[in-house]
Amino acid sequence: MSAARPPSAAGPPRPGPLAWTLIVAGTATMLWAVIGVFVEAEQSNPRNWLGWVLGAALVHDLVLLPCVLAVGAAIVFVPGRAKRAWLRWGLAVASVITLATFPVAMRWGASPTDPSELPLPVARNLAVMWAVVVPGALIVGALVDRRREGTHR
Amino acid sequence: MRIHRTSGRRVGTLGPMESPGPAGAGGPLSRANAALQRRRVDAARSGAHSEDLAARLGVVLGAAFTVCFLTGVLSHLHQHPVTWFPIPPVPAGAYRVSQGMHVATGLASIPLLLAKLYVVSPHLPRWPPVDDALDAFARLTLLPLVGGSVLLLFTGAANIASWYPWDFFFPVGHWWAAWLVIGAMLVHVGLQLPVLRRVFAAGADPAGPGEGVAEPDGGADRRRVSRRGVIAFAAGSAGLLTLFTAGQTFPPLRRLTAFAPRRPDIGPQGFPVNRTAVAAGTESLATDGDYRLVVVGPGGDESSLTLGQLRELPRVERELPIACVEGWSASVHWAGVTLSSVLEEAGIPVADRRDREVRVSSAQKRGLYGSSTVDPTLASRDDCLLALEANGEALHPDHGAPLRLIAPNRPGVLQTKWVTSLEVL
Repeated sequence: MSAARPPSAAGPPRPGPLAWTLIVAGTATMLWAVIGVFVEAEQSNPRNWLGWVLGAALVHDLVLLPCVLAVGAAIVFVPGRAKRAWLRWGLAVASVITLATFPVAMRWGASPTDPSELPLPVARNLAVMWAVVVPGALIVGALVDRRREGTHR
Repeated sequence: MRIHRTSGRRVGTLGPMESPGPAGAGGPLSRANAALQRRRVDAARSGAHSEDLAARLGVVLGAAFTVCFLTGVLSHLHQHPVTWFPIPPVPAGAYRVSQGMHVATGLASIPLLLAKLYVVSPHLPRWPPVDDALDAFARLTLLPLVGGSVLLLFTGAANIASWYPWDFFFPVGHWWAAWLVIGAMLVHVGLQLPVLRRVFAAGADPAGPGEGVAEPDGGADRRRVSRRGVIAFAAGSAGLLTLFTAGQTFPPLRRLTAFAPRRPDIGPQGFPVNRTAVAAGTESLATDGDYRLVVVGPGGDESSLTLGQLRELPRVERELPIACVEGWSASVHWAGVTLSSVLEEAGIPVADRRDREVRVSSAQKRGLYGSSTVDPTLASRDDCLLALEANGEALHPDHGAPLRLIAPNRPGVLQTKWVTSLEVL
């Protein structure tokens, strides 16, 4: 997540006027946001809010990303170049759709008095999506590998 | 500037400090540093982690965040009106479109953000961790950028599912997180301008999209994630997420609504409910024979109208959307009386209410949004209704029976249900 440093024999170029304008405006906006959180402390609960901002970054860097890298490392052992690529795609797409919709699927916010809230069987739909996307990706990958082998023969 | 070429294609640009250097030289610290540098060099050369892909994904993500931010600000201004930005009542479905886009772009941003973070991830660890004061600032602002972005999208995704696992009021926490992220994004763009200029000045895809083609050694290491793989992941998951959720507001996709928290045709009278009569404590109001609509004039004069008197007023029918802040919306055929005709019937002539807002209050005993205000322009329109019916039937208790406000281009939370009083302010 770092800023990739611009290359130059004389070291990285310094920001120009436009860059400085963006940096100053962005810093002011961030400060305004933090001040806003403290001004509306009764509703924003600054300690909890800041904890969630920090925690969100840590969860991504220390939990989510290592899990993704671990799965990616395991896929390296799957034989077949296209099969690997398609399996990787299928797992990644199915995982991120699950991640984005898990609050809906888990129905933790469902109202006992409102059947129009969270009315769809999203958990079942996700299971169907996994059952289609991942094996489908594997089959496509295997077919591509077989075609490649055929052309190389 | 050194340019690495693979089969005539530039795959990455590396600064002097990113030279791999000799392996194993020096002490443990310098060996670790050399290993880190080699990893960064490999990463920058790799199609999946190149600065080119990072910049292009960043532009797409930045565009999605900008749309999400602007539509979010518009929603905020709907709920917290300001005199310097009056929101017109037409087009009637403008809020439906803007809030639908807000939620759709927010959901689509989840895979875009994760793809972008994956692409730049090898550049996080390095030694020394910062080069100079500006670099330290750049690295520091990644915390609000990454943490704020993840939190923003997480709180949004949880809110549309009515799930609140945090201890702050969602609209306030989400609002300030959005400003934090936009600020951090501006700083990030400012710091990355040289990279953006370099990438976009170079023109078309310098790394090439093919599986393995983008590898610095011409694709010898084909076990790595390719540039095409990252793009296919980001486009595929953002596209599928949109396809299977946008039907909650976009009718042509309704049959594909598989993962959305609402489907606009499910609910009493064929559309969803956001707060039931039981939840609001108003379940007896629909059958209350003593129901009266209290109308308070600008001078404090009070009068009341029975349901029978309301039904004797000229009947008006309108097709107007009900659009919720959670992103779902539905077109509903409403029937009732205009707000202006009710005020007229209560003895408040147009001259007495010109330039005055009208406060519409609900009988709801629990929850927020127990009242809303209608500005004078909207209050005088013939499509600003107090509805008695929806889709050809008497209003269902969960939709606000016996009387609810329905007006064009307003968030659902401001379409006050279980109306019991009007006050000309």
